[in-house]
Amino acid sequence: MAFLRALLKSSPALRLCRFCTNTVAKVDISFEENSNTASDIYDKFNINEIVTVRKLFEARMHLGHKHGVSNQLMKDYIWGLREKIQIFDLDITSEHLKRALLVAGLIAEKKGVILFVNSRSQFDRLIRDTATDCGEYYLSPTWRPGTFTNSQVMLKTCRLPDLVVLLNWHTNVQAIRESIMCNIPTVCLTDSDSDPRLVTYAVPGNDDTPSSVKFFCEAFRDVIRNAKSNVDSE
Amino acid sequence: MLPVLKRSIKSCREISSLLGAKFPSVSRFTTTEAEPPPNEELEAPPINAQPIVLEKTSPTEEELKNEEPWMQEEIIAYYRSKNILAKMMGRDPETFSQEDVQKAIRYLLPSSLFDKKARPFLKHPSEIYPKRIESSFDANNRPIEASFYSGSPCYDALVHKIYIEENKLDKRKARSESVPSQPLKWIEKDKLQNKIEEELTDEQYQDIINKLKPLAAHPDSHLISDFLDQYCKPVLDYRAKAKKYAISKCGYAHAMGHRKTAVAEVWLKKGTGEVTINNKPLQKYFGYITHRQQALYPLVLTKLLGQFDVKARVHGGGESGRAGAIRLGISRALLAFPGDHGELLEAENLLVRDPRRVERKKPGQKKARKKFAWVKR
Repeated sequence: MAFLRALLKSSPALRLCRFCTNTVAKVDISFEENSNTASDIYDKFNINEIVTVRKLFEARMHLGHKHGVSNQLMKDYIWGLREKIQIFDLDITSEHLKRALLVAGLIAEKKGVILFVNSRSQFDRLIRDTATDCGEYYLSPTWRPGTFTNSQVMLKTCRLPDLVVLLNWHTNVQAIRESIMCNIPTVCLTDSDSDPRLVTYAVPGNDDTPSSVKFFCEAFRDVIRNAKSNVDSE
Repeated sequence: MLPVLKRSIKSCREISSLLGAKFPSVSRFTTTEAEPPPNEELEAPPINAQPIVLEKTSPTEEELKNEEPWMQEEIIAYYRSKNILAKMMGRDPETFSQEDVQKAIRYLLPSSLFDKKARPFLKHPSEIYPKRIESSFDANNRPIEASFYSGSPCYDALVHKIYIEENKLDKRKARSESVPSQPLKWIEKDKLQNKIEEELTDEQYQDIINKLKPLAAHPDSHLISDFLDQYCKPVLDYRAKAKKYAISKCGYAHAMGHRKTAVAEVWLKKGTGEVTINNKPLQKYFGYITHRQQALYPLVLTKLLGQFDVKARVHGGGESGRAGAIRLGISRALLAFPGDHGELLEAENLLVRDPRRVERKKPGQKKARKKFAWVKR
């Protein structure tokens, strides 16, 4: 058995993780230590102005699915029911979104690679524009299985992104799974019927309405731009 | 041992770990790995022996210079395990070639796996890992193209370029005003592949053409003509086609015609209405009246029957195919003569080669559609 274990340790599939460690940026944010000064942290990339509860409400981020299709794991983020539709608690949503934005900003500051992933043709143009406007990368509208886990063949490189931003959970399960295998943190907009367990930074909110998805994308675009302009000015 | 070998073993490090597991005595050699084996001077080779090519026993500086740290480790480990293999086989590492390495592994780790790629091997890391394409990364080790991670970056970049051009046009205008679209010839797949320097699937090619079509049909398409001209050009109408055909010094106009598998060569001349096909008069060549009508239809349509002499040479195909080929040849040759025949012929669709061919026979059937006779019980 010891021999088997030794072989498994050095098997190609598991060794992939080693290649992913040549990523540039690794950010570490701990909230419990800085809980008193949480709002000060979010002043960093102008996040407090970009994300407010009012803006989230106007973008219809609070609308979930009908309560029949809800996932029990999302119940902590839900404020209540109205006309059989679940309503998100926007205070929690804004906190989660701010945290995800901070991560993206810190990674952009260290010149890390951020990849926007989308698998719905509806938001194809939106995500292409978002990524190119802030000088980052996109993958849309089809995720070819093995893009990360078989990157040596598919992309001819071992250089993988430092953060993956996804627009919804349902059609991107494969992408989330592969980025976990390769040790890449993920940000995902999770609706009330999705599973937030595999996502590193889940943002509870509406992922079906164009206005809410657009708000989500534009927030990331602005924060990454701010982070990059900070570096340039220094 | 066998179930262990079912996974493909790519790295030299795995081989060494395997060897270490199977032959504990190898540890004797691994202790000496820090000191590379001393380069002893070889004795003079015996007469009548093949000239000995010295093999590398340690990586050179040039090999390691432009590599990333993990790759350097792999290269060093490759030479280390190669030397160990040579010692295990009782050979001098300096004369231990790549072929010998494979032989040794086949002997030490026999495998009955069918697929040869799944069997254990030891190769130089540069043969195993893909070479990093330097041109696709910038100084900060970031990919240059925004669509790098999609797998087919050039195709994705082109799609994005189309979207950008589309935004320059007014969407509502396309819906309200409908302009009769000019027939266009789109870029072929091979040329598009050469242009963007990437291989495309049929679906991707069709996708690009389908995205370009509404742009070309837009009333304001002249605004983005610089972009569109790279991918399409207008189909020549009959006036442009007419330039191909000219009257020779003897007064003959020459044209080719095709239908099904028949090929016809037609000479037209002003005269008294004689028609000869393969040196036979029309009535003897075509037995059926329909074929005769078919062949002379362009002259009937333009009311020129009896004013032109026709000479034709036809081969291939059957009778109806030949009649159709002559029809196309005559109508093309008519363009050379002055007059407005072109519009009449164009309206009747006589200047277009009929692209239909015989449908293929299917297995399990008698013909293309006909089935074998079949009775239940």
